[in-house]
Amino acid sequence: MAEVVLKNVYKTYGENVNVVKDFNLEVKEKEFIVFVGPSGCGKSTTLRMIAGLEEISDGELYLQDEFANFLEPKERNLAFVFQSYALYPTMSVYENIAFSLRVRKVNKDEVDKRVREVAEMLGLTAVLPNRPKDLSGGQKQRVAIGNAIIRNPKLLLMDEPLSNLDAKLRTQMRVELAKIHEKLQNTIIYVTHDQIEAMTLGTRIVVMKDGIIQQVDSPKKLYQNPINRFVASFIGSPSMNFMDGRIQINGDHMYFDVLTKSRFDEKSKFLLPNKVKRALEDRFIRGNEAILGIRPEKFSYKQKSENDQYIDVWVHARELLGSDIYAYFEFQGKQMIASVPADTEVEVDSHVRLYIDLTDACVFDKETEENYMYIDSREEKRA
Amino acid sequence: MSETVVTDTVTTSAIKGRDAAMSMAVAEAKERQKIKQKHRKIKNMSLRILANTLMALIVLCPLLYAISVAFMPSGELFTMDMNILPKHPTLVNFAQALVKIPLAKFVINSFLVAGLITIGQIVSCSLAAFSFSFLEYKGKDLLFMLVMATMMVPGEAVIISNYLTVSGLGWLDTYKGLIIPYLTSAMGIFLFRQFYLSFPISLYESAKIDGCSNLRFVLKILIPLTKSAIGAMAVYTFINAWNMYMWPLLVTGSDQMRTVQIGIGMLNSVDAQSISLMIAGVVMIILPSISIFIVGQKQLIRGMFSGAVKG
Repeated sequence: MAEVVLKNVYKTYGENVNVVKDFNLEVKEKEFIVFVGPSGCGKSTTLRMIAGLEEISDGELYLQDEFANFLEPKERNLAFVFQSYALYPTMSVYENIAFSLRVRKVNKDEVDKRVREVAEMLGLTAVLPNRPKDLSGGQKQRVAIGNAIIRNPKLLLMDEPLSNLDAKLRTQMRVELAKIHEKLQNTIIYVTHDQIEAMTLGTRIVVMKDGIIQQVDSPKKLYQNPINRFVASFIGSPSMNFMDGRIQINGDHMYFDVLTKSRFDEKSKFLLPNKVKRALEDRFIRGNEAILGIRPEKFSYKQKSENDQYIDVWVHARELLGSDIYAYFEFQGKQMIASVPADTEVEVDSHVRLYIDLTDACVFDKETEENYMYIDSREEKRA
Repeated sequence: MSETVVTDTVTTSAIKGRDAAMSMAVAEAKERQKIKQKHRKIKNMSLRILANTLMALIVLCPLLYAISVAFMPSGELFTMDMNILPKHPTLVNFAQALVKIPLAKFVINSFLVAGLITIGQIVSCSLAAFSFSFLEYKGKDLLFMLVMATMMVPGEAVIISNYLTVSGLGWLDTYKGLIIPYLTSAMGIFLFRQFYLSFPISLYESAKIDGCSNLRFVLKILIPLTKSAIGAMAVYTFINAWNMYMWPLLVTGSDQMRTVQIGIGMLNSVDAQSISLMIAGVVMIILPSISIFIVGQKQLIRGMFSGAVKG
């Protein structure tokens, strides 16, 4: 049974301002769905429409196979965790967690039992009598989650629940959220702008931009098989590097001519590996212009295989991240990042030859920015 | 070898001595500064108290004089001497005022009217403000602007039409006529709305998802959070209602319905000579409003200002 189905959902403000456009999604039971995208892409709005906090301008919403466009929030049997915690300041932690049960007139002993269970699970037992103002950010967030999960809702919606926490706490809560999901086995729809949260938590990720779904897939597939340049740049940290150039066929070989200093330089011509070549062969490429996408970790200081291509660059900054070093260099007037193992000697302000492994590179259309390498998994299955 | 050791000890002790002297000097300087600061503080404080006392005296002058007059026998008031304080203080004026007019009845009326108006305004204004700040509906902003616009119409301008309405309903000389026209106020709605706007909307949304009804949200969450606004509103409204003059004068005719302010006016007409009698009455009836103000002044100030500044 599908937990949530959105069919051609639109959200329109005023006359023509579409915040969400033609949103189609089917969420199955026990899934952990993450909506991710830059701010203003309509992810929160979509979540609020599912919760019933925003009206749906057009389209249909089904919750547990029931048409739900016009149901009141409380009739939807879901819980919502807000970014700002939304705790009731005049009530103690205990009362905050118990509130939704009390409203539903559950008997006292049952409420008490459940509150203690939830508090135990979230490590809040010691602070039950306290007021929210006496809690730390992490504890407040846990109370908010406690308030949401006490009813054991089938659907749990979370709107950037971790963005008010500091980095360390965020990592910790991320792990706890994953545990909670495993334990409660409910469906979670989670909104975030942080792609690391999306990648680590989600069973499926919905990448959105300007109110339109770009791609829905598992974290791994999104990373390996992005549908377009936006998804490729949004998923993965540091972000993918993009080079402008032209596809050239020479006999049996296919090359990517890198545009340097606004002319095509013979020296920076990459021989494309067979995998890429096959994907591009039957495609029509307008003026042969394309964008090559290379993940930062595909650069290296040492040549690893004969097929490796290379560029000569000027490294102007470096960042040590423990296990990796990010080397920053400019190419085609844009800043690019190479991620190399920490034992590499990266010198700042020096000329370096960077080797590139192009086996998993992406090639994007210059105008539509779609990925020529994208394999539609649905088509794959059919075949 | 030993020599160097000796010189070393000498130098260290010299350094120690110098350090001690320096730290003494520093301590002294600190002490001096402290005393200076203290003096300055005392000076500032006393100046401020003096200025405040002077201001208070000027502001309170009429009130203090009224109290003084209330204790004067009426003979003392009508002399050519400058009698600021009563020479033969007496309570006769108070006793007379209580006998000549049914002051107790007036006080009860006033309490009833002011109390009910206060409760009514708190209920109606908080609910209206709730709808203006938390609910979404068409024409909300326009409606709010209309409400605000009524603040710009002086009460005197509509008093005749109000009178005609009330008399048309047959409410003249009844509590209904005194109370109902004042059961809500734009000022109160505005005050509460400003207060509510400082709460995050997610609080309301969260309650809605928890299954909380609007009324329950107001009662259980909003009201406990807005105690100071309610306090401010209560003090402000009660004092205003207590001091109402024009409207009760228009709509009441009998002693049964009169409020204190009109009652005191009666003292003037019954015996025009007895100013001291009237002033004694006035002193008695300002006691409730002053005491309410004293009790609620902290609430009043906090409530009036906390809505203005977020956070």
